[in-house]
Amino acid sequence: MLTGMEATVEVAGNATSNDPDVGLRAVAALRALTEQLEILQVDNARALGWTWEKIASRLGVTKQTVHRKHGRRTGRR
Amino acid sequence: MLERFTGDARGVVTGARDGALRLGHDWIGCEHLLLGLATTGGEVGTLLRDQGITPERVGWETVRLAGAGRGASLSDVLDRDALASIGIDLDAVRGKVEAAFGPGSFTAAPGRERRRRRRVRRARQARWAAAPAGGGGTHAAGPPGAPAPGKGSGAGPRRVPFTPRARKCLARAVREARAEHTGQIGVEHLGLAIVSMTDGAVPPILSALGSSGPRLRAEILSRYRQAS
Repeated sequence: MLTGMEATVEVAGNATSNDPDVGLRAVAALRALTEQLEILQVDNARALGWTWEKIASRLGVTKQTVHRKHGRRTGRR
Repeated sequence: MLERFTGDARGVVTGARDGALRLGHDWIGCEHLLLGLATTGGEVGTLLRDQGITPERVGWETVRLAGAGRGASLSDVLDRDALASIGIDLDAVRGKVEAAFGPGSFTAAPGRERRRRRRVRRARQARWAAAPAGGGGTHAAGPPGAPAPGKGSGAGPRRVPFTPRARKCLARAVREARAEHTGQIGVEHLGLAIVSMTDGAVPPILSALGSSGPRLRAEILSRYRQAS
């Protein structure tokens, strides 16, 4: 049985393998991480008074998209 | 319901509750019972971990299925092995985020996990007779002088309801024990009940980890037949 650390190293060592199991897990984890970082950054930008328009332009999406996604959570328009 | 559970079997349930809270979930489902089982010491826990069913991995799969709840540490809920496989060091990301936004900022914000909400609602309908609701963040005003049991904030008096399916699973553990003419429900009976679930989150989690319920059931049974 591998310890956590060895397992991590082992998986990292397989990075160049084309095993879909490894690759797809990585994509899913990366997506989840991106999602959380986006929330963090958008909330921070709003707290600093950035407009939705400005935030959207940095994220490369439309103002409506970013507002629909984050507007309710940050609670302001 | 847990009166006839052995201390170790109750430990699995406690582990399930702790695991649920760590993932930011306010329900205990079969997936959390599996998490508790993978965390437990003793033979069944070892057997699971030997098959790659570790607490970490069960947690990641649970989050993949149900999402992470508000306030869960991203270090706990994101698959660090998968991220490492593409060269992302989760601890390094955590360090940068916390340096910028302060300690405790690397936690899950509620996304749009409809599945999670539905589960929560279902659990509440089943068992949320007296919602405390007045928690309001940290339990700052605890009873004065009361010795806080266990670890700091995680050990609050918060009630975490079982999902209906988790209750079924516990009931099945009772039947597993009865089938062996045992009055006490041990970890092996609870383990058999958990891995034998045919619906809910347990089968997909086990299959994602390269295992299966029937196989684990057979292994638990053979292990305990040998022992007795």
